[in-house]
Amino acid sequence: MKRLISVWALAILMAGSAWAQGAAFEVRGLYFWPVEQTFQDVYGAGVQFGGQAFIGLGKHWDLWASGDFYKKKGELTFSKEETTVRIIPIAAGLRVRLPVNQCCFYISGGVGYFLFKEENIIGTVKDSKIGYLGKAGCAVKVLKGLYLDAHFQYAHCSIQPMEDKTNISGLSFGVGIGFDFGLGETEEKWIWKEVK
Amino acid sequence: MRRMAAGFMILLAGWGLSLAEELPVPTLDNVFIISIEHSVTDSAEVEYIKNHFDFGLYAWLCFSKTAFALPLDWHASWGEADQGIQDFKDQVDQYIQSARQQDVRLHLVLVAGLVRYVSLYKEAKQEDIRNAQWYNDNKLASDSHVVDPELMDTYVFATLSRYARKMRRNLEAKSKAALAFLKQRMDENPGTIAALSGWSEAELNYHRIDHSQSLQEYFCDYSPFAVLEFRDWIRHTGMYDDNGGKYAGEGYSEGGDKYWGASGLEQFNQDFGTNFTTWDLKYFHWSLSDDYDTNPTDMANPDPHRIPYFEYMHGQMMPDSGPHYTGGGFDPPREMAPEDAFWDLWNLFRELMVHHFVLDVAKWASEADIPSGRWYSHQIPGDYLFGTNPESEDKNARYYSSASPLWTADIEPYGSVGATIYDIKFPGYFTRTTDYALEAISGMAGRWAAMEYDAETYPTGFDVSQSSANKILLQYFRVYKYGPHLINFFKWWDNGEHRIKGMNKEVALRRFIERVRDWPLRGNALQGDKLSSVSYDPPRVNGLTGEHDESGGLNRLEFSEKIWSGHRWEWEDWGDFSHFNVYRGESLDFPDDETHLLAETKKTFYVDQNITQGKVYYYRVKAVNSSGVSGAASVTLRLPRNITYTLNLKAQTGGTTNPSPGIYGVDKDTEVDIFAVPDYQYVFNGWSGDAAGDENPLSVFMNRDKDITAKFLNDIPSAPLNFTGEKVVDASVGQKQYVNYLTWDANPQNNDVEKYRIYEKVDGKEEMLEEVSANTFEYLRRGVEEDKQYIYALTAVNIRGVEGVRAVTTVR
Repeated sequence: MKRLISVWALAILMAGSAWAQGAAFEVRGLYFWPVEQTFQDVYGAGVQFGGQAFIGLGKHWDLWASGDFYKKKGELTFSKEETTVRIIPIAAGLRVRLPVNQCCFYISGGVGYFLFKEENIIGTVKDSKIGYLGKAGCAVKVLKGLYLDAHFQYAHCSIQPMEDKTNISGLSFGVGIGFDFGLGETEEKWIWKEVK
Repeated sequence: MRRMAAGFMILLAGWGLSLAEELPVPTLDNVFIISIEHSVTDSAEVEYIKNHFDFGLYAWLCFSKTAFALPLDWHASWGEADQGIQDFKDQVDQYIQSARQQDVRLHLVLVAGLVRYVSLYKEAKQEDIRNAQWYNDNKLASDSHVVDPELMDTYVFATLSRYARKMRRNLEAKSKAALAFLKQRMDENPGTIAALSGWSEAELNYHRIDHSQSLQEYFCDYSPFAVLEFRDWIRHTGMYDDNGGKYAGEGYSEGGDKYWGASGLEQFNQDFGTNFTTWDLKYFHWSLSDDYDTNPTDMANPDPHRIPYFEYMHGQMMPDSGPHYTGGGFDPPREMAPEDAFWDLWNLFRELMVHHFVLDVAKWASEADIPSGRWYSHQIPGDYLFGTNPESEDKNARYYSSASPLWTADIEPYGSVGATIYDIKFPGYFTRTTDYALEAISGMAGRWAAMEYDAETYPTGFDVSQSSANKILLQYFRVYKYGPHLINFFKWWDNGEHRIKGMNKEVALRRFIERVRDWPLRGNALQGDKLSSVSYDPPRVNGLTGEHDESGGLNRLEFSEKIWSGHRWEWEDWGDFSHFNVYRGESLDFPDDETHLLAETKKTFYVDQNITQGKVYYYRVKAVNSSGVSGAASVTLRLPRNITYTLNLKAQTGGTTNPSPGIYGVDKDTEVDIFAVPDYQYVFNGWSGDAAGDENPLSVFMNRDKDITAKFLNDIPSAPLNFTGEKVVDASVGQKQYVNYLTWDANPQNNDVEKYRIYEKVDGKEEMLEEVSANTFEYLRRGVEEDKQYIYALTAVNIRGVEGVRAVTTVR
């Protein structure tokens, strides 16, 4: 829990210092492919939902924070009895952007706090661990501040709810729709002129 | 004395059950067999026992013979073993003849000659000492025993390894011949051989136990035969090859091809902390491709790795160079180190060798069609000897040396568990194997036997006084409380160590039999005792007939002395029998109540002199037990008779009828009640002929000649087929659990299965886990331990609630 508080505090602190630079908020859906074989066998791939927020730090840099929710039913490896997993990754990090016309290509990285819970006939286990995430994608402005986003994300996290370590890492493909509350093109130009 | 008597009564009262069911027909399956160790050919003593002990319906007198050695000459043809065991056959025939003449039963104990009566395989051991058990220093015996002229006849046990192929062929040939012969004799003399047990006390050699040293100083078996078998058992190779090996599927459950080749050896070294560089044996390496001499009759053994006894060099059988030494070669641990992975693996194998030896003969008995209910194992339970148990800090030395824990006696479904269980009285104290063994063995199976039982052995050389008869009686009841099917009372006569005759044990045994003789056994639960206030309802009186004596002015009635038609038992054999009530009325349907009670009699006939000439009377008879409970009424007899029709009654195998099967003249227009009486473990299966349906009793109105047959069906479901199990991992992402996955197939012989019951045996105790429906053929036992062995039993239960024969599987 302590770790969770620190991650959020970092995000808020960074957001506070950067309001003047503009901000964006996005809701997204991801399709998640686990890398661990057992995860694949038990649950397979699945859909994850969440949102992310961005605070501008300059022309090419953002701070970001995200929260997602993943829940899926699967089958135990031998008995095929039902099992349910829930993973909530909460993450924050830095993003670097490269705008090209109406598109903005970006890559980002950060740390995350992964909350894991699993319920089945064997029992109920919970664990939470810190992991890391990396993303690469492209956002396209469609109208005013409204934009569409598509990205790949890799998240890595090892957990140990019982004796054996396992990892809940995976690759995701996400699409989102967001709104950029940042400066318009005219204001942007004016500011940069003043700076120079 | 008073306190003891009070305790005794409490014990009995606790066993008393409120029963209200008819006395069942005694059969070998529901009686308690009191098997006295004494030669049945000693007719004077047999007669004495019969005359001085009041055996009843459910306590059957039997005589144990411990043991019959089974010799087959070492050079005899295996294919003609039947002729080679003629001495054995003659001896058995003599016993059977004596038993039949004296109307008693037999329990025969078989000895193979490997670890008891070891002189039988003297020549085998001399021809090739690998046929002997080797101690961990590769000696055959201690330094003092090795110079004893009786060495091979007394101190050197033969190896129990399945890899001693020539010896095994001899063993298998003589065993199968003997079992086929015994089966034939059992068929020819139904009921005479009540039980067979074997092999008598299989264990590894214990002759080097020296209580001045560490208890586990010397132990067996390091014969190159045993060591190679150990290696193949681990790797599933050779005879344990899962593809076509003689013992396919019986290899070490965690072993197999992962230990094959150089990388496999590396893996094994990692798993077990060893540092072998080759799978060849370190000492006296040999191969299954060696010619083990498949023709024993030619007196020439071409086995290239044979070690004749004259090459044995005491104390020099662990070379460090030369042709019999392979550096880095495979070798079991030579020191006991419980909880060391390699030691535990080796010790498990040592115990399995013993178990396989016991199990193999049980399988052969089953293949010979000897019913599983007649075959018992006969193990010496090293883990329960003399008051110890597997959890004891101080275990008996045999626990370490003999590798014969009680579980090695588990031979289901081929037979039932039997173990030598006796207590010893020393001056001032007892050491009782019964302390823990009774609970353990009774938990293993519904049917079990206490072999060579003695409530108090008086060890030679100690000045021990007998306990009182009542104290000994309490010990007998202690054993009986756990529901043995057979107790082998050891023994009627000897120099005093075990002797029963003339001792307080004889008095105790007499009192014991008086109290248990009228109570059928069911499973492993004691149902009651004569002294309790309840008893079984009397069966229906059969065979009522009579005649009107016109000249004498009287009616004569008589009925059968036999309780059940077709069975030998008479009313006077039943301790709870009180008398017969004779009822008379003047119409066919008169009520058999107090007002119609004509007489009470203990005899099986009655003369009614109080009649009016020319008048028709109707009679019925009921048996009454000592609690005053009367059984069902007999048929109604009309006197004078008015016989018009013939009733031809028949019964199929598995039961009888009341009235007994036979041809009867029946009065015209009368109604006859016919009861179908199934034998134990059979059910009535309806009527055929001039009757149909399954009404019981059947009322037959005699308006013509009738021919009626009662049909019966064996009611014991057979064991489910292919019952097997494996330990598997059931996992999710964050959790993992070991699960024993049990599967089976329906037995096509069972057509009315309602459900299956699954039992788990842990530490000798059996506990029902679950009942599953008849169309379920798998079961998951969750939460098992990775390294623990589990034994499961499975039974089918039919729609009448009868539980069948167990199928058993072990999951390691």
